[in-house]
Amino acid sequence: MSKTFRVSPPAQTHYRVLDATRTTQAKATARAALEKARASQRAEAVHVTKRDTGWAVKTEGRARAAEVVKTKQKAVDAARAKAARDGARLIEHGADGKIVRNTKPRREA
Amino acid sequence: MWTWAGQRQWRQRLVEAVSAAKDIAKSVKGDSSLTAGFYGIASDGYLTNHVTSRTRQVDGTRSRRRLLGESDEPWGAAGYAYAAGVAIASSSSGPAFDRNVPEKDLLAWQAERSAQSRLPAASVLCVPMWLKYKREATCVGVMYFSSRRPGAFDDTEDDDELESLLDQTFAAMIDGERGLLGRS
Repeated sequence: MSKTFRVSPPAQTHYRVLDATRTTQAKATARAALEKARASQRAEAVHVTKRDTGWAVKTEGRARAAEVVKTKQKAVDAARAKAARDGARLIEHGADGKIVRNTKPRREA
Repeated sequence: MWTWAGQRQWRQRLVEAVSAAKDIAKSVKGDSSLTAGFYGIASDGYLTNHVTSRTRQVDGTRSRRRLLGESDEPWGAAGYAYAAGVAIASSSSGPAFDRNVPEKDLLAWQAERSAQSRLPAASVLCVPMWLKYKREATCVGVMYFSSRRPGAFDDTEDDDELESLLDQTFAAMIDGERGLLGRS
């Protein structure tokens, strides 16, 4: 059987990981432990990326953007404040998705 | 295309899985050598170690570990798990991933790991990852926990929780903005 290991971003939303054999209790225990682990991890980076509706500020590892604003400058300002607060890196992407700047904002005194 | 940013995002999910595993499974509590990782199946039939919870950027310059997943005698526990489609826990006195590996290849790999100061695992728990897309189920690779402690996964009481952790971690990995092979 030939297998190709590639999932394009639009297709990801239609994929589902099959886990039917696990018990409900095991799934719930695992989910709770993962949520606890996620909460205890500090954010590594805050990304500013182009969306159809504007510019998104998204913390790495989160499923959804924190906010989407009209201009890139507003998004960068919000992301910088968030990154400084969390001790995370600020990663700015261009409209083509490529990283244009990767900085570590200082926490303001 | 593989990017370090995409790999780092996956590593973060795997780090969380390790932390969660230590939280819920008595058998791995306090195990500082516990690692989680993912072998993906490539179009040439090889299982390729894409990322682990300890992957560093410098690892991108090194060759990735590859197992022949579709041969009659798959290499090690990851190969067995992939071929059999079931979770497999394996403990051995040697590197658990390397049962059935030709001795020449094993020695070469051990020398490479030794030069990088990375010790091989003694126990692994491998779970094949199945995805359903358009009514078709496909095995896309193997998620695993590994430990340098022999017998780390012998306690079957926690198996379901650990396997579910790997399922949910993989779901979180492919749910991001980046594709399985990095941002495309």
